[in-house]
Amino acid sequence: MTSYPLLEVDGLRLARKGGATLLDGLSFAVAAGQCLGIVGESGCGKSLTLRATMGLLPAGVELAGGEIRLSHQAGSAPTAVPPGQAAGRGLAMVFQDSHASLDPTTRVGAFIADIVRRRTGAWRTAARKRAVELLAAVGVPDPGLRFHAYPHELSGGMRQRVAIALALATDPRVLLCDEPTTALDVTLQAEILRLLDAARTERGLGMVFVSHDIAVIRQIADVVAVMYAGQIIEAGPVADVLDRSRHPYTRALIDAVPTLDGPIGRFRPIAGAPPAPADYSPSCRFRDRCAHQVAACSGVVPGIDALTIEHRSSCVRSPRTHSSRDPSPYDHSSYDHSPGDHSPGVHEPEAT
Amino acid sequence: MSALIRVHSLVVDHPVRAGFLRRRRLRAVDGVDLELMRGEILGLVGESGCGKSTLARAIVGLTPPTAGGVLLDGVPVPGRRPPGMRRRIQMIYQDPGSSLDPRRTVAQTLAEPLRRTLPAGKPARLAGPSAQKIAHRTRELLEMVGLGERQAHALPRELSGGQRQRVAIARALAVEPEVLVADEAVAALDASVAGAVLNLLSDLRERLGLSVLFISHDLATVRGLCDRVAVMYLGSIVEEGPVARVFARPGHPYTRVLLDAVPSRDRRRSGGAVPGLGGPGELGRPGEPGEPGEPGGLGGPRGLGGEPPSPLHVPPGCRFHPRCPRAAAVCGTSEPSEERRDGQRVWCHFAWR
Repeated sequence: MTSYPLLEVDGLRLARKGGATLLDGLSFAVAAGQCLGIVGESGCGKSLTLRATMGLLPAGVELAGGEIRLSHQAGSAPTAVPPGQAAGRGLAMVFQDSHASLDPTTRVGAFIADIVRRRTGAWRTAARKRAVELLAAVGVPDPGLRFHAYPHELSGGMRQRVAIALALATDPRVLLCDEPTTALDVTLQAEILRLLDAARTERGLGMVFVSHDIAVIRQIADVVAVMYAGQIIEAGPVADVLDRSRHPYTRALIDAVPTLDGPIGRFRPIAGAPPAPADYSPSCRFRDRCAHQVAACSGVVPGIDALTIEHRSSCVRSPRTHSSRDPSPYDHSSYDHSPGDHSPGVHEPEAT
Repeated sequence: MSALIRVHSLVVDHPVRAGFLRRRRLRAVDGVDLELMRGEILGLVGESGCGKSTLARAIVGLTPPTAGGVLLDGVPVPGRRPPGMRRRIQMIYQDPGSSLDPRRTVAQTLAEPLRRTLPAGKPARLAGPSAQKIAHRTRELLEMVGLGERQAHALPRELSGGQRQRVAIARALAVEPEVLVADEAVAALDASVAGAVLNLLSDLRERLGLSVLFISHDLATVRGLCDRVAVMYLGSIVEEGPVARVFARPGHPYTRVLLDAVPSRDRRRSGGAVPGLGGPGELGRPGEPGEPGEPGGLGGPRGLGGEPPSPLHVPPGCRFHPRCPRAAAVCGTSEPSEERRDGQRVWCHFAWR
């Protein structure tokens, strides 16, 4: 039984060139078969985190510190990857906008086959066969025919499937998903989530799933990290974090989402807006919007890391961590992660 | 309550190219009847491509109807609307980033419609309303949507998404419309920011007696905001009624499927991450795409196989039958007629069953 994670992001710091800090020493880990959900409002840095992990930093943003470690073999300790070189070495990414991941002038099958050839050095015919298999595996009907389609000839849902096939073509160990279902209808969203979940279970993929939608995170993730203003402010098993939130921001974020059950009333937005990166302070960044502010909030309140799956929060009012008197002790059975053989345990927490 | 807008047997065709020199017509809206009451918020839901935006554009007057028409306050709306009529129905779009002029400040954006609609000053009728009047009304509008003096001189790019959408709403309100048509107006916003904009719409309805046609694919939002909801599929309304009733007891299988597909923030669905909807997509079942049309029912909830068929090939009979979990032989041959119950209207052979 391995206790090594597949991917470890340790102390990731990003800053605008010569300017404000955007990400503040972010750390998280993903194990085989595990899905880490990262949730937060727009601008909190969740997509940036994924891009930095993948080595796709936007212009004007630079890496100011931190290390990305990737395990190259099952059971081996993850080793550091030089900045910007994680892509293709076990990481693949699915984007919100499927147009962005495909070449508009290349037939989708040829595009996938090309990736397969580069990756494996396979013969042309073998690569084509593999591409058709991949298309079939992501539920593209008539994969042999769709092989010859251009991206614009496919519907949005179909294009997202192709983008997933493309990501799987590199045989990744960890799949990074950046809001892959946000642009889709609910019916398609459900199918794409199911598809990603199946890919994860069958291939034992690690997955990082970024979304602003708590409901989507609830469906797909095992472990969730809540981000606010460039920090992780609460993390832990999904059921614990969402049902027994310790950070007022997490609570507010959940309450802001309308539901199909429960009383119909006014929407409950979070008052105020998150701070701009230039205004990030060492104290609690949520305190101006928080209804439970105390004096300690103005002291130094660091973010937390998500390197373990223990439920923790950065809020000064939340129960301190590492305590066996924790009211919601973490135990494996409490989170339904399908086959028990690849345990989501990353650096097992002290037994409870 | 009287119907402020009545859409009757509205048909909208789009010409499409179907090969060299061959033209066909794509029927985006196919015989829709719909009423919007005064002071009501009506939700319009359906998958992308079902024609909901086209219907909205036809109501606003941006797309000419092929047949049927729109009555505003009982008066038929002519093909070319007189300005007075255009003023009464305003539209807000999903992306305020592209519907606002990037080089105009908020105040300049709001001043333009005001210059045309505010009554002119006395001395020189031709000069239009005075700058003072415009400034006053601009402040009033900004205050109405929860923005301040500080934002008045900002450019759209200096505002957040939520603020931009508020400016778009203020601009629509500048001409004192009776109806707002909001096409996915909060789809691009975070839940929290969206909630604030939706509360604003709700307040404006109370305060100004506005009617709102709210188009969305987010059913939970529609439930929280709207009084009534209409569900559209492939150009037709398949179900319509008060929100609470439709969501509690959907009469049409399509409505049921849509509701079932909405992920819950409070619980994970049993049996894996996402519901056991049928259709293509399961890994490990390569080459076996769940063809729409195969009869459903392997136990458990079953959803939609695949995507809606193209409006170029509308199936005969009930247009939903190829994807319907309850389809029977009759569904493929005859179009369902309307069934009514408690103010709810459903077009299905097996409504509420």
